[in-house]
Amino acid sequence: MSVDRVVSDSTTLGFEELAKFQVDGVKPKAVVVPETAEELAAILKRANDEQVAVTPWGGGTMMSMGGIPKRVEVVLLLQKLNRVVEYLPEELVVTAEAGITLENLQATLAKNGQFLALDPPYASRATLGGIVAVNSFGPICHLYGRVRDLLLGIRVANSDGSLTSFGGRVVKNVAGYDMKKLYVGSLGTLGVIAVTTFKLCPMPMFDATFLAAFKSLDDLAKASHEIVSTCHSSIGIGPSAVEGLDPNSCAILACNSFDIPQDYVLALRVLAMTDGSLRERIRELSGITSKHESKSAFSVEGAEHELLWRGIREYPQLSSGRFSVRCKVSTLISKVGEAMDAARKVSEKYRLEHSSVAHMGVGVLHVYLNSSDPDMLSKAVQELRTYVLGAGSGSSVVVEAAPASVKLKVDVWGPVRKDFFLMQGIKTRFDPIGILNPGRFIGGI
Amino acid sequence: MVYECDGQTFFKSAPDIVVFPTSTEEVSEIVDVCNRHGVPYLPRGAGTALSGSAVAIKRGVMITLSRMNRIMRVDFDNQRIVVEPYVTASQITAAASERGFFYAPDPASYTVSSIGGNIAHNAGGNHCIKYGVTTNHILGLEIVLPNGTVLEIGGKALDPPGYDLVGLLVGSEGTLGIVTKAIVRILRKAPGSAALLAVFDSIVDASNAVSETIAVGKTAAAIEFMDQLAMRAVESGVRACGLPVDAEAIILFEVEGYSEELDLQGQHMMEICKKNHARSVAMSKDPAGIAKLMAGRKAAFGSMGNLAPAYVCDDGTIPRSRLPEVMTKIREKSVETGLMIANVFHAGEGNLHPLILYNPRKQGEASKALKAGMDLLRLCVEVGGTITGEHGVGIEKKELMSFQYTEQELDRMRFIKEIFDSEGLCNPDKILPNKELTMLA
Repeated sequence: MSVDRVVSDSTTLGFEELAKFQVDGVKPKAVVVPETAEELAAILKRANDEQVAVTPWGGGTMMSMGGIPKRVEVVLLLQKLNRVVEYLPEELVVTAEAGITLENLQATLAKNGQFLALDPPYASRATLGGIVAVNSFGPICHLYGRVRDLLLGIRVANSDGSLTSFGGRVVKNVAGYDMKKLYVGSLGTLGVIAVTTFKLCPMPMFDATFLAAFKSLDDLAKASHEIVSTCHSSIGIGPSAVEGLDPNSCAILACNSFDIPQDYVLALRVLAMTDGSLRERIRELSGITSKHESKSAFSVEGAEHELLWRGIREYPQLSSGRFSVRCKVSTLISKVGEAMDAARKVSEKYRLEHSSVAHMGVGVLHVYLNSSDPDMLSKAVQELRTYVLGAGSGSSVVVEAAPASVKLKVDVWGPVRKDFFLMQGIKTRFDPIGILNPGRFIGGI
Repeated sequence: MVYECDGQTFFKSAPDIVVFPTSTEEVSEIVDVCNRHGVPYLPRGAGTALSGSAVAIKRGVMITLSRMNRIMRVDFDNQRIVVEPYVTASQITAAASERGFFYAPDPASYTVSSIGGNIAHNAGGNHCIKYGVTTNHILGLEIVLPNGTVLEIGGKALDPPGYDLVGLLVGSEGTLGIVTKAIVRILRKAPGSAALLAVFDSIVDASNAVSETIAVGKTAAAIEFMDQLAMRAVESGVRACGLPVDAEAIILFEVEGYSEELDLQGQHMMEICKKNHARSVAMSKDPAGIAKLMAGRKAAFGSMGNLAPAYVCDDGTIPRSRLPEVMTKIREKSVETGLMIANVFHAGEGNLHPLILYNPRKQGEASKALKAGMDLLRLCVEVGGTITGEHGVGIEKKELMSFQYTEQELDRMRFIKEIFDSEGLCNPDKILPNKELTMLA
């Protein structure tokens, strides 16, 4: 058996544990746990020679992403690649192996008053490599950007057994093509990420929450539009997160995390460098929300503030028992409110449980749906997608989590665009035999 | 002849013809014609590049985009502006400022260089320590591929599914296609800013002050460094602005925020500079005063002619904590070669710009300057940096790519070139070193 040959020199897990590593119901034949980047590369070479499909696995928090795999044979579990390779606080740069969890890395950085400005869900399990591979981010993307904005360098194990590094440890680098961008959100289909280098930020000096509840989504959208159009945000000052929550998501947050009004709620994270400036920012925000007829508004600090943002960040986890489908909707900043309303309407039409949480200032929202009927779920996703794609200009609906029964009915990535042939070309050159996560990426890549 | 070189005047080669298309369709037709006849071609913006990337090294057709200079749409509601490639960054900011927005990347050439060129080089600028570089602000492109196809990649919305081709195209120096439109992100302007001018009697003290500022997490919007020679160049020309030419070095800090926050940050920077033996530190909240200082900085490259007829400009970037050590080595290199080396650079990002001055009429001086430049770039890579932070590889640093990348890494870049440009006619022989040569090295 070729799979046996691939795993024979490596650490393997017992057969009974294999079921834990299934992807969309497809069980692997082996789980391999490399301990170094070199070992990882050697395993890939072996797998490539034997034409064995590999599935990289970090914390396993986003394995629901992607289409149903063509093959899952060897899972490459990266949890032992969990070292901080180099951290020089005076550089505001860290290099760490792909299998380290975000939470562990943040704990190291916090000792120096620094952090990696990404707040994706499942922080205790999500790994750096996984976060890059699925392009995972959270509310503070409003100020700090996403993975592509913070990733400085990457070391990747390729299917031919080579290890290649792109980018570096410096914040500006234009030597050659910006290859590291290709790996962000590529779902492990071009290579297995072994090491990542990120730029860091100093922790904000003053950080508080301002919440406003509205009687309608329309009021929330108007208030949010005025805030994101008039308030400056940059390192240390202004709103760092502008989240729009629908009443259903507020209800779930109120049960699990923080007592929040069950209305349309705008939750803002506000940064400042002095206490006086923080008060002034909150006064300004309050002026804007009351102009748009907020029902209530208040600010929260300290432990409650932390609790609330942990809740919002971890909403996918908090609500995972309630919803079987999660969609990431990307649209124009000015259309987020309409997209949220469209999600409510299709959910009501197909009698689905639903909730939505939006990054209002960047044009991204997550829509959560539930039903026991995969037919209803897939129809709702299709209709939502048709609506969102109508706005054009790169809008998309990606199904980030769904039962296989839904994935059979709806393409999780949506239609490919005219540039798809370039993506196919890249995949073919980087992974000619097609051993890396076959079938899970856009267009069946 | 204007079109035989770019801002880097070392490499010269005239194209056979220069064309001035006015639309995407015309660009596509020109590329088609070139393909039919197997003629190489390359795009060109304002020709301010500093790496030879806009030089027609294989002659052929130069596609100059100067007639595609319209701002197509200013979309304040979605914080996006759609532009043609010859619009400048300063024109984008002017359009955005009508409602209090700005376009962040501001290379020194931002009033003349085209956005297409900024995209091709992933241009930086004075404020990228805080706002990032061009790639962080480009969300969508219309591009004429080397096979003549017109493609829209990315868009106003974030994260279209699939590989990040916009990210790959930004910084590809016009070797993967020709950008005919771009969707850029605009940001809300900062409420206020202040500038600090710190004057030092020692280059090492000044470098230490920069390193310490980064280390304590004080995020300035810009940290610019000029040494004595660079100041003398500016002060002996028409753009003199009162720089202290008797000092060894100055640092210009820019900080942003609301009034209270400006004072607080100013105080922090002042303490750090004093601790590192600054001769004086002065702060200004007056926008005109800040603009004047920054204008002096931006004038530096253009003022070098006041000191010497020619220069080689390096663009290596280093980890910021290595600044004091590398600055000392640059000085040693100047003594060793007998060539003057002026330093004016983006210290906050560790992006060095040593300007190695020489006289082309003096026998052997040009090659001595080039060699000194190579040595300094090798040093940058040795301390963990890169051969180019913002100017690009072009022709100039092509053979240096193997300092930084393995053959396997270069091969992956070659794959990309082949996928986009299978005929190899689009801005050929740039960025990637000849495979046979690197194998021998």
